[in-house]
Amino acid sequence: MGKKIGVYICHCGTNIAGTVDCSELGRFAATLPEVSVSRDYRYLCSDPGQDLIKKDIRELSIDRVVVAACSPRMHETTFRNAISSEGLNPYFLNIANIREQCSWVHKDRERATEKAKHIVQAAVARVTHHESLEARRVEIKPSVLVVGAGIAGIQAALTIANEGTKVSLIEKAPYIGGHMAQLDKTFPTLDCASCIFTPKTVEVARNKNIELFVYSEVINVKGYVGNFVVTIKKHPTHVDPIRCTGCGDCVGACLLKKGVPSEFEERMAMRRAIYIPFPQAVPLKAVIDRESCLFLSRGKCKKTCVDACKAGAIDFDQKEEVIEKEVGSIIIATGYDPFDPHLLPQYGYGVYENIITGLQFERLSSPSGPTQGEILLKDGTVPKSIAFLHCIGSRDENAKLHCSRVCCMASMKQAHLAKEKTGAEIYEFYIDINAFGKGYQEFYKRVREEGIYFIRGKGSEIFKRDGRLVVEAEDTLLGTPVEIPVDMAVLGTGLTPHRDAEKVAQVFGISQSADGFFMEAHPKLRPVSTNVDGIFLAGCCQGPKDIPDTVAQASAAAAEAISLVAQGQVEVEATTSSIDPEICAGCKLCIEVCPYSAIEFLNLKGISVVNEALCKGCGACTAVCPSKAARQKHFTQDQVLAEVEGMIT
Amino acid sequence: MNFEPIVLGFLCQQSGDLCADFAGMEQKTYAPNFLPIKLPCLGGLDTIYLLKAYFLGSDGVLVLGCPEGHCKHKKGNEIAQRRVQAFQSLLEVLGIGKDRLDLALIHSSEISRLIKMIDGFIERVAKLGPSPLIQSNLTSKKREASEGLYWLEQFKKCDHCYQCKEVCPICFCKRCYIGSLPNFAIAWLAHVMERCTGCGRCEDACPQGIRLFDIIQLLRQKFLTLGPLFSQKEGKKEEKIIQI
Repeated sequence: MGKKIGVYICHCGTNIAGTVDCSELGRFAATLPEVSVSRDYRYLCSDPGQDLIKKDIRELSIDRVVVAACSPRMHETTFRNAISSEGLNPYFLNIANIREQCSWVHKDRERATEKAKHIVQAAVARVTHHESLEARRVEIKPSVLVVGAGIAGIQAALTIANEGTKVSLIEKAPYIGGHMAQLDKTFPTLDCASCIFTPKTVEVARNKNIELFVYSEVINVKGYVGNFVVTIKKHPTHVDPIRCTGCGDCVGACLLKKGVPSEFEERMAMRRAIYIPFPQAVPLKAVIDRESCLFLSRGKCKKTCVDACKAGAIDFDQKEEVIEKEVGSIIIATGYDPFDPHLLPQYGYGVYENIITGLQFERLSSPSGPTQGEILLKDGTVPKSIAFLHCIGSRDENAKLHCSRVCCMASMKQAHLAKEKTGAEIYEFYIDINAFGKGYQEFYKRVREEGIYFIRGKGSEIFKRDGRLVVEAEDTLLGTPVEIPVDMAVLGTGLTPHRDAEKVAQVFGISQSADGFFMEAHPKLRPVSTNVDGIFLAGCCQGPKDIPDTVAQASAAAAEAISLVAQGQVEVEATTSSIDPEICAGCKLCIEVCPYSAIEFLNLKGISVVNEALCKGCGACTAVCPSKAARQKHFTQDQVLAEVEGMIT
Repeated sequence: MNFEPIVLGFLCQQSGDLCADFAGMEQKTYAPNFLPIKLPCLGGLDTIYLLKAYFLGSDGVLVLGCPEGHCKHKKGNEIAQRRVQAFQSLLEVLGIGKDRLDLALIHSSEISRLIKMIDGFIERVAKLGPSPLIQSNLTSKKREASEGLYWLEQFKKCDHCYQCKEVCPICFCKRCYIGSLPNFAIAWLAHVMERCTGCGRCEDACPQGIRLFDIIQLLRQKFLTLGPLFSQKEGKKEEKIIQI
């Protein structure tokens, strides 16, 4: 029996009709085999547009629908819902993408129309082979995993936990807080970062719905939306967190007197092998660093810390733990790494003293930092002149091309703090001032009026002359090179993807943009979703952001995660594979290529079978199967071959 | 007038197809003779699709997938890479030219690279001219033999008797997907070439005397660089060998 296909061509205003002759396309579509009706309409996605299709299904008993319009990413669901409301199986729809992949990318009207005809012909040829499929519904586990406990992860975790959903919060470092915990004051309001942040970190430790895993990593993720199984590796801290009171007696007793550079203090101070990262750390527990501990790295130590600990919390036999968690959705908030200025040797970082990064300046300026908040040179004197260099590693073809967004404001805030604390001459070397946020431009004006010199020109080099640092730049307003001798130079280092971003992307199966940050599902409309259903992004792991934007995105990601959990069930695509037991010869090639180990071999019958709950529909088994016993729903050989045929001829 | 080749694209949903959508959103332009087909993952890029594309008159096929290590389904791009390389060998041996097939691995955000890829590939195919597979018109036997296309001429002799399929020990499909293609011998060769055991029965069976065994030997030499298709070792499994 012949099919009754309805072809509907959308003008999309002038988006499609501007380059493709839609009425000509409609006439062409009507001549195609099995097409019983072909119409074109201004906006098919509008209600009257959808009614047009519904009416034809009712009155002309159309049983297959081809919609030639925008990308299926936009409106496939819209039209599937429309036709299923008329009792037609939603998989009897095929979208011909004639906007993104035709009208928008071609200028020549005649040739664009020609290509659109090919695309519509292919879609018509394919839809005749479509089969009625049922979308599978799966239960959603009512819990969320949040990876990374910086401000983004903490905000997301607290929002979800307050709603009443269980959250597992994973942090790689032995304490939570991330980079925000290191900051002194925040622009443009000059709030003290720890004053506004500490209540949140304390709340994380107190909240009953949050299970905190510090010093832990996610090593494996299995499953799919609603049913992820996450394997967490918890590194040993060698301190029993229940017994440890955080008194710090062990730290004083540690025999590693020389110490190692502290990560939290950005290598501006030393710490012992057993340490408490900072006084407000959450959880406030001591941790032993395996690499620097004399006993754990060399096996030779009197273990004075064990004697010093009155609570008896130190346990050198602690082993790493591997924990499995079942969660419904995942929020990734792994943050950023500051750009490493060693990569740009012209700035003399690591060569000359008193050249520091922006984050190091934050530690210097912080009242809990190594100098108790005084801006001091290495020799302990107060600097008389300080240069701030913007865009170190950002907006630079030799480093990263992206703008890191926060460094202009951070540099100006630091300039303000330095002026206030030292009264030194301050120079800002900038390309452009990107003061984009609320109150930012006002802050820029305020800083300018404080008598800080703004030089429009990127600092090109820092060298030493007569014992002083000299910053070289071109003042592009005056059109002349300048050389300014200073006592201290602060490099406004940009935000780069976390050094483990690639590893994280692989573990979670999400993709990265060309700049290395994680990629959102749609740059405008789905900025917190990823291409994996049920995995969301928050904070700087998706791209450079300031604190308000990070908090906003983290709240958005939390809302997405909660909305998923609240649904209780989720529909997953029906495009799984199956193996015809009549045809399968048991060669096991499919088992070898299946990336999800979803195919099992039945020894008794000598054939392979697909476990549809595990199959994610990549189709690798169908292509490798020599006898074509394996077939993927909605991408069967017949369907794709028909599409190829329609596309070429 | 310049020759406008027909170029078919197989686009991975995660990278190539998404990137093509992004290119549309940014209103970048590329040649309109690029015809895209979406696949859920390049792991599902079947040899039959490639065969059908060339038989129906495609002058070139461009496959676009995710960069190494970024496949959503872990190794779909690696599988496709191998399959494309094997198919390129076939195109080369047949004299169709391996430059008519290319695989490009791109991120979905690399819009300008995508456009460069498409336009560059179309330009390359345009220089090669129309596909000899179409020119030589494999279905009709009237056309004169042209130089350099020895194997295509050989295959023209195929009159769909399916003897090769019948005797082949590794050809066991119940329903033959390639039987309807314009030239059975080439399609069959592409289907079995990587799994061929080299028994040579097909050549003996061919009533038209197509030198199937010889071309398979040529292809197998080219496949040596691709590494094994199976992870299984030759011979009997150790646990099955009974020690006496």
